[in-house]
Amino acid sequence: MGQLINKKDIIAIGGGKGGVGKSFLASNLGVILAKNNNPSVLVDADLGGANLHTCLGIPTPTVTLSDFVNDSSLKLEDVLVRTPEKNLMLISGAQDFLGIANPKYSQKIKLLRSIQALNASYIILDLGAGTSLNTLDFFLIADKGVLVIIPEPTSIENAYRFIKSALYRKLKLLSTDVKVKEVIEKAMTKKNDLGIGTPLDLIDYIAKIDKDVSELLFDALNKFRPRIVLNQVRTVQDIRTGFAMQNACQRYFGIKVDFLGYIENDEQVWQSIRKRQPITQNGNYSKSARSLRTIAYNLLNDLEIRPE
Amino acid sequence: MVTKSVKSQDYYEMLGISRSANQEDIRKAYEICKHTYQDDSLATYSLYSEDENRQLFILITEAYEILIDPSSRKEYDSYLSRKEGRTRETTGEGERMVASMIGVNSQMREESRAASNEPPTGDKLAPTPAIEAKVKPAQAPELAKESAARVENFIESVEEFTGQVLKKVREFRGISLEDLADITKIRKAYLVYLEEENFKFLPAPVYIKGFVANVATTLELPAKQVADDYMQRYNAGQEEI
Ligand SMILES: Nc1ncnc2c1ncn2[C@@H]1O[C@H](COP(=O)(O)OP(=O)(O)OP(=O)(O)O)[C@@H](O)[C@H]1O
Ligand SMILES: [Mg+2]
Repeated sequence: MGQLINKKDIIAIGGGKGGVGKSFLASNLGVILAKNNNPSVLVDADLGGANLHTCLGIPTPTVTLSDFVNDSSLKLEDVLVRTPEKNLMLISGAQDFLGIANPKYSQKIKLLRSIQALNASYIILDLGAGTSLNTLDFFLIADKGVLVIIPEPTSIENAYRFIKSALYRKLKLLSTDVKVKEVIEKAMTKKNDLGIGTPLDLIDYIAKIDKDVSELLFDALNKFRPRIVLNQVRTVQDIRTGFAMQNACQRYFGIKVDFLGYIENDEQVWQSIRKRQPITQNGNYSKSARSLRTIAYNLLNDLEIRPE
Repeated sequence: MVTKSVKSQDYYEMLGISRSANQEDIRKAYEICKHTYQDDSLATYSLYSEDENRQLFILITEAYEILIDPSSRKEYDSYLSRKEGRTRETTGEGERMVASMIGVNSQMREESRAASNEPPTGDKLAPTPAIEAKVKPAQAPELAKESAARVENFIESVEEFTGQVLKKVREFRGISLEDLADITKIRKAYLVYLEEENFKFLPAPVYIKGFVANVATTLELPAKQVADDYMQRYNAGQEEI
């Protein structure tokens, strides 16, 4: 990774729900990008349940993110570890994350800045489950945010909650006016007394307080463009659910969601995870490996799949 | 500006397609909408209530019916380009109607209601009830059956679907104007004008067509036939003036 790289993309992999395949997707994306000659870094940003090293088949690293957070003399580069893939480095999370699971604000800012400054073509952040502020902030510093969803009610509900929380946090971070911030905070709760149901209602409401701010937020809403990946698909109906979610997000949240692709519920995937070797690692041309490559391609090129 | 772009979705936006979409695109988009808004859809049950879902689906079906038919699409397209040619400041009645049509949100509906001239028949700014389809239940089962047969006979005997016929069917079905307004999200005043064929108080033809199709669907009438009949009368009425 000698030369300085100008163009850099930070990609966050979230989804709200646990165990849907975030780490599976993150590790395979890392492998695919690295194999395509892109120096890349995987960051295990699951502050509380780090296991990305396992997905890549490497032993528990001795240096981790918590060293970086706790030792101010360390740079983020100091906790990079090698992976079996030549162009892919890992920044591991730690096992005992009690200390860092809730980092101080200043620590968090330092961490986010250092991630942005890493010298790599692609930086992939594997997020934990849930919608904690830390997780949302990792998602928001990314150039592209991906949500992994499985076609089940709880996963979809969590994904919507994630989208809403991330979006409202973004809008709140953008506004300086205390009154506007308060309105956004209130709007977060479903049964608020302002009659605000959707982000579009919120922007309408704010237009009555301050037109310019409202325009600014509307612009941010238009630029908020999460990607979705449907994992563990079993039927054609499941795939339709991906398109339906895209449709519903447009109407309800007023945002464009890119449907990058889907991965079937696949015995081979399960086996690759058991073997601790990403399915895309060794010239695997199974359907799932191909799906993962399509997803990577669509992600990098701002494309999506279309209904047949 | 913001408000406007949020509220006034055109039929293309409703279906999530571009203006250059072909028939196949329109059909596919509608298929996805079906999947999105069908009862207990995974994609929407946590965002919208069942009634909201149904309302949205009715509106989207209207959009689909207008766009899938080449002649009504052409009419709508020319309406759109006329509208877009106008200065941005004038908020036409049509636009406000679209707002109230997509407005699943009661506050938004309230606003557009307040912004337009409420006709004397309207229930002046009464708080908008929750979105609930309130069709009166039938009385006794046999009675209901008998009258159902009568209604069907009547409908079969109809030669032309006029405003008066719509009114009659609505009454047969035991649906009040208020209920119909609630279900269709069309302002009561417009429903009255529709039934009276009081064309000059109604918005642009494409919207009227949408309204009529919406009302027809709610009254379980053949939407396309009803809309075609009605628009023929509308066009004849325009010529007289
Ligand atoms: N496409 C698939 N086919 C079969 N099994 C799968 C598939 N994707 C994921 N799994 C199974 O789901 C499990 C969880 O995957 P993974 O650890 O990537 O989820 P996660 O979202 O990162 O979870 P956590 O929230 O705990 O970090 C895997 O161990 C694997 O058994
Ligand atoms: Mg994980």
